[in-house]
Amino acid sequence: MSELESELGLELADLLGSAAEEVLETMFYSGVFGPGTEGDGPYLSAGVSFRGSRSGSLDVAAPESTATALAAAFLGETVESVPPDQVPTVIGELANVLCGVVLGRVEEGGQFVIAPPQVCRLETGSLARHLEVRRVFELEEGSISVGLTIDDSVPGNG
Amino acid sequence: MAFSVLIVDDCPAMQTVIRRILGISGFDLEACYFAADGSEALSMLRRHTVDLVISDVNMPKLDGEAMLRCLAEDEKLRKVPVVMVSSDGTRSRVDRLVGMGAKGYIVKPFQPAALRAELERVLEEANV
Repeated sequence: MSELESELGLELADLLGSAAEEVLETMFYSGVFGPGTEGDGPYLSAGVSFRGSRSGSLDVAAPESTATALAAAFLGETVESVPPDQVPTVIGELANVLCGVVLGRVEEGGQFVIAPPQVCRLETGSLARHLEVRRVFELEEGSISVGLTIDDSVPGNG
Repeated sequence: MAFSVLIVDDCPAMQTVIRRILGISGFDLEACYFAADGSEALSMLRRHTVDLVISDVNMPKLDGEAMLRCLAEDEKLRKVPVVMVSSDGTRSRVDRLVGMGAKGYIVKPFQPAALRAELERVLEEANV
């Protein structure tokens, strides 16, 4: 357990797991089967930064096929009928909602401002490796990677 | 009774989902308007008669909190009930927005039934 996790009194990796499960099941009608491995690219990656009681960022990355399947489920469409321009906004929304759930659990009485999601396309699985915690989950639609960093060096954090 | 709604969210996909939930929940919609931020929402509200606003909190330009403040200062618009929909479920944020006049608050992720129930409660309270 890292120093930050000790301070928070929780395992961030477990927290990411339970938050991802809740969000994916509730709004994306998808089940998390368990830990997975990163799928083949290209990826869609969405990141949100947050500041307030704590600062940091959370990102989500999924192969485009997985992202499209998740977008279809979210929008109540089929994979064939989902408008391609909606897929990045859905992955951005997934990052945004996940971040809200995680922060609510990291610090129940905290105050946060979550910035709008930034979505980009990655050709390879070269996701940010500096993140403090990253987990990959296996879904029916493929695999999805979620990373969280909490910058405990920012004044006011903790 | 038919009513008009304004959905305010900077995420087009979220606008679509909320509109779809309103449809499958059997609400009798007279009109459904969309805005991407609080500023656009205020402009829409000044041009159209709206019975209910469903709004995100974190948005560019004018966020949900600033929009609520503008509504409270506008004599013609202050009575329009607003339901906030946000991924920020921290107690401090919920209390602050409800204190500022939000009539309802739904935390994402939510089930369609939860949004429906909250909207029914707010519409009933507002006699819409």
